[in-house]
Amino acid sequence: MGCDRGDPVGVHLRLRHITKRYRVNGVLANDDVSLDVREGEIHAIVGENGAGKTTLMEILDGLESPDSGEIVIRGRTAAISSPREASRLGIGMIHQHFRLVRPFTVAENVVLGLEPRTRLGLLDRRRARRSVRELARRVGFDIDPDRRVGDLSVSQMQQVELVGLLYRSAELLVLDEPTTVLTESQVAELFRTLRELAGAGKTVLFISHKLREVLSIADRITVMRRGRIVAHGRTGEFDEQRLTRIMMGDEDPEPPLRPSTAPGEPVYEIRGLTLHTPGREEPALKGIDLTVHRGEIVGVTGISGSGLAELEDTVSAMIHGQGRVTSGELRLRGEDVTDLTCHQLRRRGFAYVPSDRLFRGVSLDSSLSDNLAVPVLRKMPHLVFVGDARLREHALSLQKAYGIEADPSLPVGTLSGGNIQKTILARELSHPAALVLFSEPTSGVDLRSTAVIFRRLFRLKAAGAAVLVISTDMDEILTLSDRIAVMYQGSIVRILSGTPPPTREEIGRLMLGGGSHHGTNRTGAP
Amino acid sequence: MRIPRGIARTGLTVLAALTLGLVVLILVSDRPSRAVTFFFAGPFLNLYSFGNMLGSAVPLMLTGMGIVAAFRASVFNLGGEGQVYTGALIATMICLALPRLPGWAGILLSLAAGTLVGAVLAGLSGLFYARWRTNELLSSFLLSAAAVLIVDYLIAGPLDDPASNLLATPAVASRFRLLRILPPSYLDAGVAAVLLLAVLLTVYLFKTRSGYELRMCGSNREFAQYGGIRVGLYLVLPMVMSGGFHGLAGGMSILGTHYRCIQGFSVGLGWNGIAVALIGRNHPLGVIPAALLYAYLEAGAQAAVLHAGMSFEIATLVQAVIFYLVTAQGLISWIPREGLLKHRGRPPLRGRRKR
Amino acid sequence: MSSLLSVLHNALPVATPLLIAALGGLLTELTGILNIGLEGLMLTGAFFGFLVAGMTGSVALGAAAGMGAAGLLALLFAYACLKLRANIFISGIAINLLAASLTSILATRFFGRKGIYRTEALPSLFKTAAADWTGPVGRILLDQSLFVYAGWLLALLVSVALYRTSFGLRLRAAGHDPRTLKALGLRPTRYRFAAIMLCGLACGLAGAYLSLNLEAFVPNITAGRGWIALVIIFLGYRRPGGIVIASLVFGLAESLSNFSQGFLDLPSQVILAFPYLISAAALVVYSIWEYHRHFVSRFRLPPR
Repeated sequence: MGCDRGDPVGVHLRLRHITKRYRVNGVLANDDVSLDVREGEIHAIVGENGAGKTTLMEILDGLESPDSGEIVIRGRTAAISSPREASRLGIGMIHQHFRLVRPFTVAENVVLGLEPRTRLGLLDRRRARRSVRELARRVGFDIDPDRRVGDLSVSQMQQVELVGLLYRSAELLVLDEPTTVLTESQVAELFRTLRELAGAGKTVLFISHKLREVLSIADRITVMRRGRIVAHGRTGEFDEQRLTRIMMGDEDPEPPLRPSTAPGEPVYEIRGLTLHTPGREEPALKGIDLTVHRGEIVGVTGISGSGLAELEDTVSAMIHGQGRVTSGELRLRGEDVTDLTCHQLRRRGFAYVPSDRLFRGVSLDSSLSDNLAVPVLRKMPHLVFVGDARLREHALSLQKAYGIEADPSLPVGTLSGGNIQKTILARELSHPAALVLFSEPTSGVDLRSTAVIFRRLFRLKAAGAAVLVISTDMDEILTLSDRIAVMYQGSIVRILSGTPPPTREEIGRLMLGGGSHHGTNRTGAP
Repeated sequence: MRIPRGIARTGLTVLAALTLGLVVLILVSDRPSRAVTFFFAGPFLNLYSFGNMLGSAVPLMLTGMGIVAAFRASVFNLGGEGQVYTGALIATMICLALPRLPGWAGILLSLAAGTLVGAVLAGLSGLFYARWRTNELLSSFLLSAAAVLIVDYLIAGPLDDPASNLLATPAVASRFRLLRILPPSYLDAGVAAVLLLAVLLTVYLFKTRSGYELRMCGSNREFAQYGGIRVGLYLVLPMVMSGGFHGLAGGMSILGTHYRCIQGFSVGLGWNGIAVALIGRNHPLGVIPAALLYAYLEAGAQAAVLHAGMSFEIATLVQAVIFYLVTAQGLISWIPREGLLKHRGRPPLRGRRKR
Repeated sequence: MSSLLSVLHNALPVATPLLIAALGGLLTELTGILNIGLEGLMLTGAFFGFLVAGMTGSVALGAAAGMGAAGLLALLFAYACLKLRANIFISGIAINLLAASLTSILATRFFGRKGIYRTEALPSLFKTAAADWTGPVGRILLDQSLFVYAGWLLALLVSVALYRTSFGLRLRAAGHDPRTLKALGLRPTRYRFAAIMLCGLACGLAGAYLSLNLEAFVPNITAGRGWIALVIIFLGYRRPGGIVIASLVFGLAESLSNFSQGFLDLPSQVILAFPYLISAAALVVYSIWEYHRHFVSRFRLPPR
């Protein structure tokens, strides 16, 4: 429940009748949005994707300007023309995709743009380090200022971002979907920090679509839908059901149920897989043993950095150049596929929806038709004449089946995020496959489309495919999986079978290494 | 009729380039009005100059196509100069070494050899890139620069024709020379083959699976690999094709125009091929009018040199200015992820895992 | 023994223009722009440096002119790449072509003829006197022109600038992650522009040294050194210290080949081709080395 600390005194941020229509596609992103954020409170803005939260944020950050309306910060009207201006007004933003320079150290990242100088004009690293340590201590972080940001965990990177905001004397902290990349315990840590900061007088604006978390941290909640504010009030007035209903309007999709089909023979086996990556002594994957059966959905989860990405890349044969399998094997339908290329895997009935949608899942510069054409062309000989009309026909039929409304000759980069994911699904799932690999299938996807994706996955399972889902999202894993493998530091700590149904606490504990068998591998029977 | 924006921009750039060329001429020449007249009207004076202009466009079309073949795959062949020159020499040598071959056989063999040599030179760079991530811009250029010097040496030294005043090899037998179709100019029948090649390349790139895969590798290599396309192949194949086109350009220049390998005859064909590819918007069919335009400019400059006493370097300067304008006019928006080196994303992914 | 000494002694002046140009190229490379136009920039510096030094009789003025001219050319490059968003490789080629034709034309114009241009009016480059008691090593290190020391100084300056100033920090950030810079309200374009201009100045200096040291100008006096400088950037792992070492190695190699030209009976063009071939070979070897370092040698394969 949200903490109730009595009404804070003043209004830190007041938005009055903010309206913004994007000229590019005519979408009315913000429709007469008015809202007050009080001093020292934690205020959450919730809504589905496309509700207008992102646009509002971009306006606050100076990246976009509203068509009409005004912004009042601590009583003074402000025109936020650029991120620098926003920073000067005391607004500090942490985006979903961190704005950190990975090869630089923590200290360098924090002071970048406002570097302390010595008398000679050189960079004063000592002062930078001191500032970082002080600020970090003030919020209860433990960060080494000289560590490379690229080596840090995701939640530590977020801490660095927060320290950066404090360094720039931000008074209004805006966090955009901060918990998508965190585990439960890291979320709790973050919330503790936020409460401390609020207690110290900072105002926190928290944007999310994760209702449970919002209910636990926020003082007040504002709900947006289709560019408008549809509800606001104290946290105590809401509960998860009410919020969902308000967010979704009248539609309230029931989460689909997982069909209970008995799994068949093993389709995909990982035996003793060990993977080394350049630059690290320790293998990124250690002795992984996992089997996926026909008509079964196996979920693999863990915190980021536990080896999920490497597993995804290894299974999909995209690991070349970034790692080598030094022992173990992979078998698809009995055949050793360890050394195969993507090309060869695909031929053997492998479908793959990657987590990196924009740069791996599609070619942004190519047309929608071209993006959808890959599996069709794969079946043709190399030098045969292929007409455009045929590809276009194919694209249109897929578009119809998956609800992608767009001109197939336009580049995919012009489509919305949701449509891009639909494109990938349309392409990958439209041909029968023996093994389907899904990575982060509903990350950043709104509730409605999430339900649709779940349904498709269950249909695959019912049709007898072997499905492997890799995800850091516990809800997703719990909904989808027949069995759950939890990874920690490169090994599978435990494989939980469906009975008894696994709990969030159990999985959370395992994700942090606390296994009942202290990290040794154990395969669970289906 | 609405002109698509991109083509309008191209047109404007070309116009600007011509205007600038005009300005330079007027400023630099001693007899500006004469220079200008010959620059713009020179190529049309008679059949000889007109035909020669067309003839000089032909190797440009080939090098332009060669660049297109590589660019479409986001691979950069900067070694065009050396590939053309070496291809030319090899073609000449084959003809000189086997004078008794029937005409058609000699032509085919020497052109094939020239193509092969160019393909190998460029292909090496592609291979190094695919295998060890060696920067192919640098390697293709360095190899080509060395090749140019070595060919220079060979022509001036062991292969020099003592009977001729030029630094050049002996001439190839007349049976190997391509048929002239617009005498007295040296426009030869090879132009038909080149036009056909342009069509074939277009069909390949846009209507076949392999061409599609090549273009996908050019747009997003990671996506291509993910989709099951053999990325390694499309790091080498485009370079091989590119080098092949360049080598063929060299061979055809010899058999169609010069009949002997003259030292330095092909200077600029490689670099101008890049400009032609750009003007032609990276499309094999666009390369044809682009090469004609370029050839027109060059022919005009030559006419001005010949008849208005302008120096040769000025013509080069005009070309260089045009090159700069062409590249700088933002025509390049369609080259995938323009600008920084980083756009090429992750290192090229090899086709096979290794234990 | 003295021939070895002379080879070593000559390695430094040969390495200097490579070093200076490579340092300039490093700046742009760290911002994400691989500047292929180094060759053209050097050539411009060589010509104008020679021209002005010949006219004024001052080496300093010549060097300044070379730097200035190359700076102007770099401005064109920057304009094309940053403002007009042209492809950087093609713009670099354009720069090379422009420089080649411009210098050739202007040379003919100014000197009224073609070929090699010489001048006697040039004061010899300032050299520190070699003290006798420092012995052979001292003579190698100290009996050099000011330019050589300028090169080392420049390496030090660049190193400090890159890693110890906020300018350097932001410049490197522009190369690693321009979006982050933008989010902080800084403009990566500004730092790229600065890098390109500094690169132009450096290459101008390097080129000027070439012609001033030779007391002559030939069209294409740079003979591929700009490209070698690019290779040196990579061989030096994109760090000033590495670049110093790599340029010394190349300097030694060229000095050695110059020396051996005396008694090896190779045609001049082949000798000219050596730098290209050696660079190409070095590039490939470097790539193989890096590849193995990253992907092969670290992994001990257990028996199957």
